[in-house]
Amino acid sequence: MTNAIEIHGLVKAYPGFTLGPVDLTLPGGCILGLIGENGAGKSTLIRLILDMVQRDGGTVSVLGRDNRDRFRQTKEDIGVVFDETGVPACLSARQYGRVLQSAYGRWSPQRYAALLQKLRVPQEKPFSTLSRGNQMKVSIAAALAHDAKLLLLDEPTSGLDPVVREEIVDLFSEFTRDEDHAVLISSHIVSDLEKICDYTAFLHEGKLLLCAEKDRLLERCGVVHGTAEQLSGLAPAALLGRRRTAYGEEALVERRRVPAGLKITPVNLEDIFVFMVRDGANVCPEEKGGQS
Amino acid sequence: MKGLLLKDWYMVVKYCKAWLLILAVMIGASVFGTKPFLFLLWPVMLAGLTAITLLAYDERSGWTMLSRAMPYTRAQLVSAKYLVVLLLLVVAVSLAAAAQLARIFMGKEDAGSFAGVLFLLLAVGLLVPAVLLPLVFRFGVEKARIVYFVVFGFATGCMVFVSTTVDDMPQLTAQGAPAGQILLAAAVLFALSWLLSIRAYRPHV
Repeated sequence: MTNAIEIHGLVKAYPGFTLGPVDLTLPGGCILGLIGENGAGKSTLIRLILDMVQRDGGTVSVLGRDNRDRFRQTKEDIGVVFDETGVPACLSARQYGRVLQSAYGRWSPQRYAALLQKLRVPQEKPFSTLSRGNQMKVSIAAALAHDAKLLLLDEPTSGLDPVVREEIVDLFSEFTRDEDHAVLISSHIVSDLEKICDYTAFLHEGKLLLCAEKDRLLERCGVVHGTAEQLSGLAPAALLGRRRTAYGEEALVERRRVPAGLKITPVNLEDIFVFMVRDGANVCPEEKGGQS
Repeated sequence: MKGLLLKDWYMVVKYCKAWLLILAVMIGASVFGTKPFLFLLWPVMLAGLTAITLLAYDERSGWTMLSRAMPYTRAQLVSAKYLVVLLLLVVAVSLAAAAQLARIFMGKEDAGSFAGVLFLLLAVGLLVPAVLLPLVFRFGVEKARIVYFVVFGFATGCMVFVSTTVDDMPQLTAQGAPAGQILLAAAVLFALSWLLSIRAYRPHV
C-alpha cells in the first residue's frame, strides 16, 4: 500500500518563524491528526503539501508522487477543506456544485446532492447566509464528492457545535473504511482528533515534537499524582514530564517503567500535548520525526 | 475553465448589477447628448475593471487560496478573468454600437465614424485591464490598490480629453483609422498583459 503522504526534511522559513524540519508519514487507510496551538504551523504544513507555498527544503510526496511532479493530476485525488472555506459568498450550494463539476474529472453531482441532503444543508440559499456549520458541511460535501483518495482538512471543526462536529467526524471515519483513502486533519480541538485518529503529530512553534500511533502512545503514557518527594522517587527513565498544580504535583510517566502498585491515571492527547509544550516533557524521542 | 467562467458569471450577476444600470443610463445619454463619446466610455471602462472587482471578491472569500488546491493551472485561473473582460466588453461595445446606429439614424452622427468610435471604445476597454491585471495578479488587490487609483484617475483624465478630442476632431474616427491602429496596439498590449499575468500570478494566501 502506498503511503498517502511522505514528508522528509521539509522546511519553510518566514521572517520570525521557521517550520521544520518536518518528517512525517501518513499510511494509506489511516487518519493522522495534526495537533498544534494557533500559529504552530499546521496550515502552513498543509499548504506546503498542496504546493501552494514554495518549500525551502525537503521533499513532499503525495499519493506516491512528488508534489511538484504533475501535481495537477494528483489534485484530482485530493479533497481539501480550509478553515476559511473559500466558497464565494453569493453562490448557493447547488451553484457551487455546478462550478466544481468542471473542475474535477470524477465529480459526482448525485453524490454531492446526497451528501448535502444527508447533512441537511439548504441547497438554494447563498453561502453567506448559511451558518458556520452548514458552510463547513458544504465544503466537506464538495471534498467528498469527487472520489478523492486523500482528504486534507485544516481546522474543519473549529467554531462548530458538538452535534455538528460529531456528524462531521463520523463522515471522516466512514471515508477511511476504504484502505486506499487517508485523511490528514489539523485541529487545536484535540478531543475531536482523539476520537478518530490512528496517528497523531504534535506541532509546536514550527517544530514537530512527536509523531506516533495514537493508541500506542496512550497505552504507553499515564499520569501520576503525588507530592514532590513521591515523584522524585520515580526512576528518571519513567519520568517524561513533571509539573506543579494547585493540589501537588503531576508527572507524565511511561507506564511500563513505573513500579507496580503506584496509581497511574489514564492520559489523553491533550494532557500529553500540554505536558510537552508547557512543561517540556520529552515523549518517545525515538519516534520523533515520523512513524509509519 | 468552464467552471471558473460559470463562477464569475454568477458573481457578475450578483455584484455588477450597478454596471448594467450605468450601461443603460450612459447608452441612453449618448444617444441624445452632445458629447456621446464620454458617455460611452464609462461603461466600457467599467467593464474592463470588472475583473478586478471579481478578484477582490475572490480574495475576500478565500477562493483564491481554495482554487489553487483544485486541479486548475495558473493559465486557466488567469485566463478566466481575461475572458470575462472580453465578454463584458463585447456586451458594452455592442450596446454602444446600437446607440451609435441610433444617432446615425437620427442624423446626429456621421456614418463614417461608426467603426472608428467602436475601435476607440474597445481600445480603452482593453487598455485599462491590460495595465492593472498583471499587477493585481502579482501583488493582490490590496497592494495593487494604489496603482489602481492612479491608473483609474489617469484613465478618467484621458477619457475626458479623448472624448472631447473625438467629438471635436471627427477625422480621428473617420473611416476607422487611425482608431483602428490604436485598437490594434491595445489588443497587442492586452495579449501581452495576459501572458504576463500568467507568469506573474501568485496565490495570496
